[in-house]
Amino acid sequence: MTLRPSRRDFIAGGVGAGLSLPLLGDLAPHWLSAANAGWDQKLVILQLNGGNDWINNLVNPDESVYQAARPQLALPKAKMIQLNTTDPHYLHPRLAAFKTLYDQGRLALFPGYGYKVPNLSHFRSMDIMAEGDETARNVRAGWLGEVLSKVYTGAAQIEALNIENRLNRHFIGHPVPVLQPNSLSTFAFSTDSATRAVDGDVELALLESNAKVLRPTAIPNLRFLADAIGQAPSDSLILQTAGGSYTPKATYPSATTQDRYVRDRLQFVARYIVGGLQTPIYMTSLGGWDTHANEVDAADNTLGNHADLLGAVADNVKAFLDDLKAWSKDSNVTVLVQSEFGRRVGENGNLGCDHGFAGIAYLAGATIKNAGVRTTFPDWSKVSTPYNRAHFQYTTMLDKVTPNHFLSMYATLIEKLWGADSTKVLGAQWPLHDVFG
Amino acid sequence: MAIQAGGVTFSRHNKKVPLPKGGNQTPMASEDLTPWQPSASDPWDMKKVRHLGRRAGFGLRPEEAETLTTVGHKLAIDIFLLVPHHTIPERGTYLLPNGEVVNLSNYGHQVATWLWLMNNSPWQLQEKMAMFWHDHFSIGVGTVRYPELLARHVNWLRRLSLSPFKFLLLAVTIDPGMLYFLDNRISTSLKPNENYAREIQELYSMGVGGGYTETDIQEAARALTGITNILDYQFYNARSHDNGSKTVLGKTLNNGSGVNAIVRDMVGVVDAILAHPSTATYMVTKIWEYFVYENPSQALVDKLAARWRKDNYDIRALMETIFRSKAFYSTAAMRTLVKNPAEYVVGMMRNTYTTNISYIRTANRFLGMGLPLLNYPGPEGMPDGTAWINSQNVFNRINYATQFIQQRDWPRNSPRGPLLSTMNPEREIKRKNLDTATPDAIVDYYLELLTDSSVPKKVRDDLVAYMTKTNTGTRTWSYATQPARELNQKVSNLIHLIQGLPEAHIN
Repeated sequence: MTLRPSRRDFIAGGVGAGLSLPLLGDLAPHWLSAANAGWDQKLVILQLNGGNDWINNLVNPDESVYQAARPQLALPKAKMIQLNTTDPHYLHPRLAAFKTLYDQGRLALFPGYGYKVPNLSHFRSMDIMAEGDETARNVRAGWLGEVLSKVYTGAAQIEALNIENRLNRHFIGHPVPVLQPNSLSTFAFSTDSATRAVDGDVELALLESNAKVLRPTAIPNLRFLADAIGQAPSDSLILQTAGGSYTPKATYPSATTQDRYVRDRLQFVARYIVGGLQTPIYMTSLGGWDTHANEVDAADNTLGNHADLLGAVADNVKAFLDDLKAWSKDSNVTVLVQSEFGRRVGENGNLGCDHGFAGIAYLAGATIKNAGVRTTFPDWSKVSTPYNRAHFQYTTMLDKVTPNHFLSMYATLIEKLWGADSTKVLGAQWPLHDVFG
Repeated sequence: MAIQAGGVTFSRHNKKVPLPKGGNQTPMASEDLTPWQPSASDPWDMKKVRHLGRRAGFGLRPEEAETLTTVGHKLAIDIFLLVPHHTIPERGTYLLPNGEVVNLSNYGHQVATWLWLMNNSPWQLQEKMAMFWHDHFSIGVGTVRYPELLARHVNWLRRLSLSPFKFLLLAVTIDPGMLYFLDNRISTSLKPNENYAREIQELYSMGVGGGYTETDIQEAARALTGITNILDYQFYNARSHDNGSKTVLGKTLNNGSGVNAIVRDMVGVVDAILAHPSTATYMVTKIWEYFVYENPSQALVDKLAARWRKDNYDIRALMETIFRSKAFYSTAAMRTLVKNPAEYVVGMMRNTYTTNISYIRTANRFLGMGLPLLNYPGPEGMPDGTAWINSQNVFNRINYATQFIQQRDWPRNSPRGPLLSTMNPEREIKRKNLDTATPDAIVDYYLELLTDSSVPKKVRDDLVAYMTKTNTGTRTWSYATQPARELNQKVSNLIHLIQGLPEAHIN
């Protein structure tokens, strides 16, 4: 028994897109017209857990409210990096690598990224972004799980790779291998005959065949377990062998713990992309963004926890893309960086700030055709006092007209990147970003 | 508070189980909270005893299961519910009764100590509840910094694990570990920090969307200012408390100034939370999903929540209702949950009565299985159910079983280092006269012990075939002529194969 619907049956049954496409002609839905789209396109998601203080990512430092609301946190303009000479917005000093990507036309920025009725609980907000629905109470099916089970028509044996401690909620509803780079050596049944029984191979075969015996349907958890145990050996075989000869061809950052954490995970993704895995979705995450206190160093607010985190993300994403470019494997790889929400306009006095509305997302890669800032900034003039409780009043920007909503991002990825129907996953049509051309 | 890798949610489960159809005068067994009674067709048997042992503890040793069957259901459940306020040392070095020296300033050693206790404590429910509450009020060494405070935190959870819920909320509010973890120690009237004020309403009592507003969070943050600590010394700082009037969940707190005002405000916040109807329903749902089955019906939750409120949120009363209820022994409940890593690892120790274990080494393996005891990254705990299972954790668990079944006679000075554990099935083989039994009987005995005989027939037949062959798989096994050592090895391998079955991961 398998939980995933058999793709072979699906295509053999004539429902596959390839059979019916040519007949549609002018009636073809717009999502089929995307150039270069398809399941060979790879999406790498780097989720920032805890709420990235996006205002200190990209901001107009001359904004008086910014200065007034953040006496400790407002970054000095002299140290920041202007996006370009005609733009009043400046990047955090540690986002220099993003500036390079921007100059190379490989980075799109989405300030004011969020959803209409913000929830300031980490968990609820993460759920909303995982479910792809801001009204649902629980994650019953993560949007990436739905992409895989509803619209994916590719042939990858491993349909997604979740590089975390446990299954990310974005994948719920679909069995996806979850592992960490340092755990690859243990991603297999132990066959060390020295420490155990004599007949290792006999036992391993029995472990696998036992799991594949059909279980009764009455207990869904039992079937899930049987499926997971039965699939594990073949997943292991693929992940142990693919990309075995990969070595990084770019210099990744390694100064801080965060640098090394992201580096290890992105190199792990690079290994499998270079190794030719057909897997279209890779997801990993970085924690530590919940900067209620000590977001910056007291002596120099361009340094500190948040700066280290930003540096780890930007430097690694750039190194990752350069690495794949050196391997000539970057033409179909897109990186998405997002967080569950942003933080308050004003600081809270502990060298930090509390949960707030709005956020920022980044898309990076050679797939980007229209680089630059792709969404509208929330309006500073509507920010009320006291600043430490203030949010941007911009929910009118999150309807289906202005594409600041995260669902516009998801829809764009599904339609423009993969050429699939986003309404099957998201339930409605969201405005698309003109970022992939 | 820091959140690290991994999607998280307050929702503990992700699969929808069809709800039982209601409408009858007599509730369905899965909804029936009246005490279960034995009958000729439905006696108090080993399946129910093991079910109780797995849910109210970490599984039973073979003789324990036999004894608890003999004494009858009333006394058996009593034995679980009678819990002394037993705590363990919080600092310094400590000699575990198995001979290992643990250093309690090392959180990994604390986990080792806890694993020892889970395996050996006669008060299984206390350890199970402490684990539940630790997951509920989850804190971690990454933010707390002083591992000794974690030991104290868990000791408090042990002591209060079956107390009125109010005591738990108050204790956690002034717990130095929690004051570090959710920043309330730095919350002052000038700079109120909402981190703890949010989670005490959102995660610890009413649930996300449970009816509090952003204003309630801000007001509660003001009310909870001035509760602070220096290392393990907790105190109230009247100068940093906000003496103004606050309204939390519709309840006005206006208590003047001084240390007493802080305590009254704190109790006021907790009382306001307990007066809100969401608290009982959220907590009852969470406890039900952890101990009984996933997705209980709203009617059942409402009924149990009403009863719990009437019992003044007494946790022991709630657990007693659950463990004695017909619903707890219904087919919807028995063998339907997924074991968490502790239930799998300690369950294996207890089911095989293995005590010769290096808990320090086991803790290292255990912490890689997805349950970060004493090292939770965020306050939301871990999602249960199928979220424990992915291919990596399949390997982690079954490879742990591979190490676990090692035999006593493996050389201690092997280049692989000291053993994780040495399981010795000989005791059970002798006790059950398995050395003179047929392969069928051996397989059936262990399938019953470890999986309640719930496996498909083909799996059972394949295991019997395995047991009739020699270890190399080439010759037919002759039980009469094999030395005891060979039989021990073979039975150990059988236990390993059974622990690799999907049924062995079902709780």
